[in-house]
Amino acid sequence: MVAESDVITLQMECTLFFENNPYAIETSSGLSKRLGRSQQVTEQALNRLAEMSILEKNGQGMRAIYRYKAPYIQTEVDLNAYD
Amino acid sequence: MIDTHLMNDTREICQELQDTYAQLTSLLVFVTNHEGQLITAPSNIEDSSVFDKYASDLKSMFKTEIDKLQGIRHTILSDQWVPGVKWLIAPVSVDQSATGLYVWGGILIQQGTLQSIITHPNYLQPESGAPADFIELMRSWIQNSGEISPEQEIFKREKITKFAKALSLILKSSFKETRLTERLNALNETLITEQSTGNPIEEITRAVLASSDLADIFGFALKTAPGKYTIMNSMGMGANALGGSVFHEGEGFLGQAVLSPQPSRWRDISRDPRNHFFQQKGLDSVYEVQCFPIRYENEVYGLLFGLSFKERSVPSINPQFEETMISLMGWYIGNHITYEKMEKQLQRFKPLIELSRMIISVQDIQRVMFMLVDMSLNLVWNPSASIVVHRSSEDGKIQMVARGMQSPKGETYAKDIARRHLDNSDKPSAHSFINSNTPFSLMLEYPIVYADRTRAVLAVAVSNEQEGEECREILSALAMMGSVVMKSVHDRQQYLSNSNRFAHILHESIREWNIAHYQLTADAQKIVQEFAMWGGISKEEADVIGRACLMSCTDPSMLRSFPHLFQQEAEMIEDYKHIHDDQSILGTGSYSKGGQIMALAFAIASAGDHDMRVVNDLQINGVDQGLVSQFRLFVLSRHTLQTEINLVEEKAPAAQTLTAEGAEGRGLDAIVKQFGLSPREKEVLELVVKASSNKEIAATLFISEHTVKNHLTNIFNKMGVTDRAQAIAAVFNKSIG
Amino acid sequence: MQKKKAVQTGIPGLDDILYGGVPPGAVVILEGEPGTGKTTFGMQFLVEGAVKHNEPGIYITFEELPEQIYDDMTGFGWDLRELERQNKLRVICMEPDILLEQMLQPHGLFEQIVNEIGCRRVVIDSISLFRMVGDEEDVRTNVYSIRNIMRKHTLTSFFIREYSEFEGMSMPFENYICDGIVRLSLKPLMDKYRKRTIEVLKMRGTRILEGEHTYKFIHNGVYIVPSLSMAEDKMLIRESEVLSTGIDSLDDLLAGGIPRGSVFMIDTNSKANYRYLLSSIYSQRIKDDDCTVTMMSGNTSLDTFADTIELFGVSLREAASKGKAFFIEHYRRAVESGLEKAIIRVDKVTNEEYAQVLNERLNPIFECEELCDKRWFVYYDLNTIISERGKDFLLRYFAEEMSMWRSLGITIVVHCNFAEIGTETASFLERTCNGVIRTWVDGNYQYLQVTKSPSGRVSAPHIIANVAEKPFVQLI
Repeated sequence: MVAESDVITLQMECTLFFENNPYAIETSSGLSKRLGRSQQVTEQALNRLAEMSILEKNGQGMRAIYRYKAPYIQTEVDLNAYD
Repeated sequence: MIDTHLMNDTREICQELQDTYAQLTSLLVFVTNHEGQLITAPSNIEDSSVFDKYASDLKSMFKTEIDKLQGIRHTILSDQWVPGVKWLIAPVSVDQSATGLYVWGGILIQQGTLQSIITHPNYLQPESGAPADFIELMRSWIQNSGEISPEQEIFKREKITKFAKALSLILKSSFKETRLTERLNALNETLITEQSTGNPIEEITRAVLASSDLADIFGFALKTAPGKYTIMNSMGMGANALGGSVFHEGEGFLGQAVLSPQPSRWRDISRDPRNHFFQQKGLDSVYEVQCFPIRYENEVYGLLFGLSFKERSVPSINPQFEETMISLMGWYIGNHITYEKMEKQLQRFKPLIELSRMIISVQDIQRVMFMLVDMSLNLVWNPSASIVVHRSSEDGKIQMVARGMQSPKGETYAKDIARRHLDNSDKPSAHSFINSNTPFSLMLEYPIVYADRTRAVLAVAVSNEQEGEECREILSALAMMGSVVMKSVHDRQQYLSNSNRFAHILHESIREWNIAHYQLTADAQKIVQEFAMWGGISKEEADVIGRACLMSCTDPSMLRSFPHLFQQEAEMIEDYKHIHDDQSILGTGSYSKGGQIMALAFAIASAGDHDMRVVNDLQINGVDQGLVSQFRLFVLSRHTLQTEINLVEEKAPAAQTLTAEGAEGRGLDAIVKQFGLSPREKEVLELVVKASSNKEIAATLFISEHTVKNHLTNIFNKMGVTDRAQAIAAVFNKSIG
Repeated sequence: MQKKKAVQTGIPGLDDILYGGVPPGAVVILEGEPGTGKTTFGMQFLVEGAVKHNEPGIYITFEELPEQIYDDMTGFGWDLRELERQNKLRVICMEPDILLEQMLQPHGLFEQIVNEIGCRRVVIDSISLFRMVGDEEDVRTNVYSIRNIMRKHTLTSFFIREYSEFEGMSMPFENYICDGIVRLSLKPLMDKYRKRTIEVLKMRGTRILEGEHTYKFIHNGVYIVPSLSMAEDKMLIRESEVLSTGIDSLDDLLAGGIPRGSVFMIDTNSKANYRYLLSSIYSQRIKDDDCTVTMMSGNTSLDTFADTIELFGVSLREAASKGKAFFIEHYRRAVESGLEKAIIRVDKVTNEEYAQVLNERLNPIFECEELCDKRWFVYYDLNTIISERGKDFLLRYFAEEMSMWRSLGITIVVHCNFAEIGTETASFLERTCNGVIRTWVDGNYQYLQVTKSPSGRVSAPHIIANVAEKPFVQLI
């Protein structure tokens, strides 16, 4: 059994990875190699991130690819405009 | 049943006791269960084989008799077979429940009754289906024993009663012991299996309560929000109605029980108004409520409770044990919940702290916002939405980064946050809020305070108040990290804007006494900025070099006296001055890049924009050659760009954007046509437009430099221009006109 | 291939080698050993495209992390994240098989990204990784498909390939299917130095400047110096002329030669043989029909000097007789009568009169009608000045005289032994000169190094080797 904190650590590592490399396109096995983690836990973490819609998941199983979904950004919200 | 407890040692003791009492009373004594089944071997009889031989006949005979005695509590005297043939029958009770065993003692013949017995027609010819051998046994017992006095009868009655009592005591303790062992075994088994299968605490509780006989219905309620409890689990007859019901602190029995650190118990509650809660659920005849709080230290998490009905089929064998057990269970669950809660936070704190080094090093405000939004989703129990609102400037604009929020709801909420937290001029507070008044579910809002103001807010959706309470700390740690990183970015910007402001003041101060230099330094700074936009250096570099340009009149040692502010600029100015004075003592490459770029920028600035010859002659001692050639290209492209802009402004109302490429092609063709250039001259001009030098042109076209010069002279003459800058401008003019 | 406008790589020098650039949609193999800067090359191609030509690009990396690349490239002043924000660049990392899958898929991720930013340029780092996916036949098919996809979208692309000399005898198949091959190498140069070279081995649809060219990493990326010296000149000395030293290898170090109107110092130590070096420089001037003024040193008589120059196939005596060569002589030495009129004798001239005497003799010559169009070259032996007139005189006279001559466009080479004149004087002279060529003997070799030049370039030390034919020395 994998400790929950390990999955969360990996979730956060993956999040940081994609924030730092926003145009990375990764499979769970590819990313697990980059991060030096087990493929199984990496996949678990990636799927959770996809559920949170931090990542976009294409395909299923081992061939599924993940990429970062940029959050919704508004750089100039005018406070004085009408809602 | 009870008789099953008469095992081994216990059975032997009982048999011995029976033999002793039989001898004492001179009676035939045996014990049956309520089925009439013989439990002990009859005492005071030489040959008991008849009991074995007619076991089933006798059993039904005794059963008939026992059935008549349903519910007896005391020893009675009963006639059997023939009136006057009397037996003492004493019930042996283990608890309040129905009598389990019966002690039989016989045969008593009261004074003056023997004659009527033996003359009774049944005496010789019995009606009942009793076996003849048994009848014979009784006849011989009657003949041998004779009549007894009333005193003797009382004595015998007392002794048999005593025996029944002794038996009852023995059985009771043995029964309890067995029940307890059974209960413990069952508990043990439950705990082992539940633990090993990793079932949640609810399942374990359910299993433990299901095997308890303390009450008829059990329930398990947990706190789901401050002051609010929900029954998660219930079991027993009619208990389903309780599942999912909610009660509040202080409300009804259950609500009062959660306020007490001790177990609570109420009996005979049928008229109590607090009973309403159960009656509503269809539980009409609740007689007793027992409650055991689930808590750890001062924190109440929930309640275990049991309900008993008026008529209990089986009363609890060992209520103290059950109460203690369930109390412990409550404490255990409390402990477990505390542990789980801590574990849940620890599971997140650990990674957050492990990654904090990487998180803290982010140096871009937008990436900090991305990080806060994404990480907060990783940290809450049920991630759904998160938003960071940041106000960087003093105008009415804010920046927002969000996930899980739809536009325009997100913007509306962001504005709401900004008005509530970012506008407020009061003393800023870094305390978090739970806000239920949002377009989304519950939002936990964290003001991010630095430099004495609330500058940003992190808001994260939580599914309920309880979750909000639980993940408050961890999110607060994240928000704290965010404030540290944002502060460092802010400080850097502050530092930059301070140094910019100061550089401009110094620059303004020279306007009075040297307007020419004032203009020159301003132009140089502008060139440096354009050089950065063109891609020659980064924006950050350009900012520093630009400031150095503005302050180039200032004594570098004076600049160094501002702690930490202008160290780089001072060095650049010194280098620039060295280069400018052509005192290349250090040899090339020893000057800072900034100093070298300043030298180039000033060279161009002092030559004025339109003098392209400066570009070709650009050669400054102490400036890296690669940098010079890059600068040349930049100035050339800048020149053409300016030409374009001028023309666009003058001629074309609709601005037309031009690429160097397109301009080149169209302009060239037009020039070639208009001035009748030869194909070779066209090739030369094409290269001139690309800023090639004569050497380059010579190399490219495999002609001598001399020939290039000749071609150029011809081209310039044909076009009526005097130098290459004018020629290039003409090509671009044509491309537009 | 249809003749279209070449795509400028934007890498300084490379477009010159390629006579303009790469054909649009071409797939170019960029190969090199580790450390040759393939990533920088590739990225510079994209950055230049994005910034200067408005051609967005995609960098696909299989092994390196984008964040590493972002970091590494800030050293060249490239803010890649900013370019991404402007949708002019994407640095994508993925595994080779995923790339292939997404490329082959209609409307796959690759196509999406290409359309998203209007991509024109692509770099794949590196196609060697495709060798890990499938067998030789698959690899061939895969690389072939990728090349076709690039062509279909007219994406001008660099495919980076790891290269090692020992990688096998057979020619990699990519060489046949790609449009061009650019090879980066690190060549050993003496023991301590290494030279970076770039060579275009093939480029369909354009002429190329053949051979190996030097390149360097400078503050804003890669900078290639095309090996043809005349191409090199233009970057370094632009329009101004250079005077060849007569030694090709030395000319290379000097970016073509000694710039006209500059002062160059040749610093020798006592053991070093500078005779051929100086003679070569001098005889080249005669050969180029320049006019010369030479200060004779104490240990070489004019006749001996003239004979040495003969070895280089030019006649000093003839030049002198045409009034194109003059000699300043501090020593009372007899010479062949034919040369006497070219001698300016200063053996009786005091320090105070020296400058005046010299100017009176030389100025009319410099300014006379038939010679003023000529280039003048002055060789000055400072050792003689110091021994005959003293250090103080040199310090007073030298800078003033040199700047006057320079203003006349005269090129000057002075010779001196720094070690013997003291650091203060030496550093004064070094400052006053535009260039310094140092030669010295260390162990069994004589070395030469350009330690200062107007272009700012400083060379590595080279060994001077003797050769049988003129100019009798060459640099190795």
